[in-house]
Amino acid sequence: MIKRTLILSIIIFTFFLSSCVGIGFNNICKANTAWASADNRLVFQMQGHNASDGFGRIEINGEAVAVTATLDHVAQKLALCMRSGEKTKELILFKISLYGEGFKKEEDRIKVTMIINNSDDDSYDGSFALYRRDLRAEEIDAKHYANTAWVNGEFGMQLLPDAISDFTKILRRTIKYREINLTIAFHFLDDREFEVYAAEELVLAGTYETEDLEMILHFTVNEIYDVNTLTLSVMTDH
Amino acid sequence: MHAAKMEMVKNDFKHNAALTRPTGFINDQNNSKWKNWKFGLSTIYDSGCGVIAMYNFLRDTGNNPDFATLIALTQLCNADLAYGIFGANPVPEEYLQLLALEAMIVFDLIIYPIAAALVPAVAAVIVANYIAEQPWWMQIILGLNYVAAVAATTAVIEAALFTAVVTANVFIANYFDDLHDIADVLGLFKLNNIYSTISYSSFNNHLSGYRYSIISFWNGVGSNGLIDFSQGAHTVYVKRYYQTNEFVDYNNGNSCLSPQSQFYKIITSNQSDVNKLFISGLVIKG
Repeated sequence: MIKRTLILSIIIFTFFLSSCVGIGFNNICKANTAWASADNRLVFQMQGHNASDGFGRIEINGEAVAVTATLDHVAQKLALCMRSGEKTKELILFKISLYGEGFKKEEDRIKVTMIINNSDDDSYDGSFALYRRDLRAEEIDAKHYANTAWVNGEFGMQLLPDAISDFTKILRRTIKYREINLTIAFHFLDDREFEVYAAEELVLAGTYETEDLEMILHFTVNEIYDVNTLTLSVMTDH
Repeated sequence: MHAAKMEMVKNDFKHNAALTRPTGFINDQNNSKWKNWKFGLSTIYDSGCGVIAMYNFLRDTGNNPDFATLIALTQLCNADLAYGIFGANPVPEEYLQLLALEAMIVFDLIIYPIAAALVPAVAAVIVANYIAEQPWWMQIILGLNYVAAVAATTAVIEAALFTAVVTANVFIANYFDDLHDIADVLGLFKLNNIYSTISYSSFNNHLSGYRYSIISFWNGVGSNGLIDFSQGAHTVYVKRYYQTNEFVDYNNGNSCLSPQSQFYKIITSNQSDVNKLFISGLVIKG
């Protein structure tokens, strides 16, 4: 009986180690951080609420290519996708591993090893390190929140990303407010400005501020609402 | 225990059923929204890869499962490991028995002789420390009875160990007797023609000609070339496209198709490690 219990304990211990997330991997995904290779040929940032989805660029044969970055700590992969028409396609898939001894793993440095390379650049074959740093407050911008949906229930505005929103910086959906029912396109511009179009007609424009999981719109053009500012919140269950 | 688990399943289902249902394939277990989905003592975010693999398969084959219901079915089938903490069990029951046999050999030859030899030594250390903390006159009295004291302490330790082991044994034996696996959950959807194996080559042999599979694998090997258990394990649904003979893996950080010759890339970047890392595979011959 003693033997059997010990045997079963060993089996249980084996399964203990088989839960989905490896030790230390939970700590590598952190919101509002930037990752970069030592030579800065690959850089991307994770902004907003989602610590796993980001946007950046990779140098392919000397040319900068915009990419979305998905840092999947469960599958232990880093997937870089580029725009291909109205869709995205996977450019490079890396396996992630951690630096450190035993249970003490580094959080700010990971090793990536190429699994699939669909680019023409074979300089990413093999392994190299990526380094993480926290973003400064002035670097955080709702425009760069990857794969993020926004909502304001009171004013009936909802913005959802599509497959290429991270590249186009355009979010689409609706305004349903009082008697108004519009399909809209929200364009992030440079210098924290925005424009909202309904059937190609400008209906809202102005500047925005980013405060953590909120985006505060200040209107200079306003054909819909009787307010000067409006706050959108990140839909965290999107 | 059964009543407690039923209560847990009911509470989980009530909670999960109120959440927004997933639409499409689940490809983002790393998204923090899955922290809201309860899976016994864990969450889908931490331990849900097995349930997600089943969901993606069932959705792809038109069974349209309700995710909250699928979680509850996994729990009710006792296909959850340690109340969800370690995910869903991908290893068929017959292989668990084989694993138990292998572990018994290891125990008989290594662990048990070492443990048996250590108990008197541990008792001697305890007695010596105890005596050292006593007044001088007590140390003399105890010193004269040192051998008897060590023997008595050894007996106490062995008795305590035995009691603990018996208690644990009853719990664990009951638990493992009732333990089931992913294939049993899929059986509830009338999918009974499932081939299960823990051998990668056998899995590959059975894969040809069939479209759907679920595989489990360790995430990596260490610098010593052995499996690094601390990296955890993963379970994913893999589908074959008949026309191109390519495979796509879901919830595996990947959106690319892998040709059959590079199936190993679903598991690892290094082909030579595949046999080590493979835990189990189901080929669903539907």
